[in-house]
Amino acid sequence: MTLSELSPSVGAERLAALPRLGVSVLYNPSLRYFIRDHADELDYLAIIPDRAWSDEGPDAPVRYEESAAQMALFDRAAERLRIVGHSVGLSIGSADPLDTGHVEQLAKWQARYDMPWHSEHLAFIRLPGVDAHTELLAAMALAVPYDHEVLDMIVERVNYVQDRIPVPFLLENNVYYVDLPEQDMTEPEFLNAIAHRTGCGMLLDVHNVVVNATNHGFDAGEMIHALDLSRVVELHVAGGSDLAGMYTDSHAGPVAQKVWDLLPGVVAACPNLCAITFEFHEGWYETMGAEGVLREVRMARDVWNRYH
Amino acid sequence: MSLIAFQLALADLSTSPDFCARVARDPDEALAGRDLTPLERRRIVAAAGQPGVAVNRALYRYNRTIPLTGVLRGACFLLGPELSALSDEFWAEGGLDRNQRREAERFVDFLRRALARGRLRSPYLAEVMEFELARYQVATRPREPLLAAVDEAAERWPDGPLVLNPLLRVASFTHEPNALLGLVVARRPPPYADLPEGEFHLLLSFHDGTYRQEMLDPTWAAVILDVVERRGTPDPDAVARLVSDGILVRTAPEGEGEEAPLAESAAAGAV
Repeated sequence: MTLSELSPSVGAERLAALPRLGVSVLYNPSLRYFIRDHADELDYLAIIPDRAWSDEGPDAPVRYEESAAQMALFDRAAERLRIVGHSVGLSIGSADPLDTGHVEQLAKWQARYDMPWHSEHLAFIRLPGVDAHTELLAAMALAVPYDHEVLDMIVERVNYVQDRIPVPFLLENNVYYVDLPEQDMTEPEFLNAIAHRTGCGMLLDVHNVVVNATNHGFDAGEMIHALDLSRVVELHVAGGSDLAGMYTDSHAGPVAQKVWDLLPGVVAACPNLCAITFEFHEGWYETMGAEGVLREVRMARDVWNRYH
Repeated sequence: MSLIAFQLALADLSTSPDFCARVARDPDEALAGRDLTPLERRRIVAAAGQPGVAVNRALYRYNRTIPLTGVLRGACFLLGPELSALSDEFWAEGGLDRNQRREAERFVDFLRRALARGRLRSPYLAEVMEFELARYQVATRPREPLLAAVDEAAERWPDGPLVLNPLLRVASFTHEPNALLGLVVARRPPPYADLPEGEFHLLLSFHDGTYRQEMLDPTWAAVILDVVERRGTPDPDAVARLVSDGILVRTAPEGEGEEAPLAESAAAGAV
């Protein structure tokens, strides 16, 4: 690797030119009526495109069966709000070849909703080479080792995605419950290297950092400030819960207090920040209700407004 | 190949408590035959001894349950405490399909087999799970390709066999469905002593972003099912009316047009 390949300036102008959208929620099915009734409280709508289609596999006559119900709902939302895509199924860290068909499908949705950017997790969820006919999932997003070999693989894939989809691509820092020893880089070093070699942006999930810091004993603020925060375009804020002696990213209801504590400093330090997205598990809507969701959105907006 | 082997081993730690215990107990035996570098091997052994593996395992179970409870909420409620053991049996048959509908279809097929061999005895389970699967199918199947296939079949085979419109489903019940589904949605535990019994059918449809279900008149239901299941000689006037209303549509004669999406859709529509 040369210094010119590892340049903090690559792609920076593109991120700086993105629209500053504000605050919103990540769509889940419990929000169907909330979106209709409270769109005026939201500045955009983040959606998970992969959950709106059914992947029939590369050999099917029509690979992606798009849900008419989901499309109708998103089409209505798009009449009032910008749509931002946050996908979960690309599995950019899987060791087998990148699913280029999935990239094409994401490109189609980016164009359909004129998304200003789109994002994906820095993780693998698809299990490589299990079966020639059926692709299986690990049922969770597992973190990749922060090694040079993996970095090269991810960089190549990010470049491919950016070639195919004409808006900035953001990678999200992942949560991990298992520590892998003897990694070549720290998580911030790895994320910075991807960004500097490809020009991509970052989706900083503040709660993921809090979860990892809680479970693995490091300082969340230090980790965040070791990132090149000029790359951060979107923040995720969420809540969690305890499980089997660890703190998990379960998206359990309201945003965690530790996230609120970190948020003002993070927002202040991210010059190209365009969005703060509240994500929660749909099962919590019954407990929080529309007012509970709005409370989190308004609290995030208070922080946003201090710096925008 | 090594990174592939590492990712599979890492995932196996989360999905298989047995594999995890074997790695912790005797790594040489547990990892024999896996194409791991010495570093990857050290990482897998280190991971197997961490409390985070138990969290991954719990998340694996939870995330595998979501596609099932999401599509088959009422059926999973009726399974009650048996759901956990049944899930383990089902998961032992194969990994998580990336396609939620296919995963739900596989689980329904698994439950059908369990019902057939008497492993499950709920009198409500079969009709609730078939209804919930049909409802999911009708709401998630893409409209445009199916409409195009219907139009093409009508043009190519104007006298072809009739099938249920692939945009519709008929769900059959032996208990009054509105009352039964109401009890299940309210999470009232069975038995449901006062439920009217008989033969009931719901017509499920999705149009303009809205899902609808309506009780079918028994006479019309009988005609539809006779046509779909190729039995008896249905009243030609009634059939003509159902064709005119778009409930029955043409498909390819047997041996022709197998590649058409309607062929599969027609089969799925026959309940």
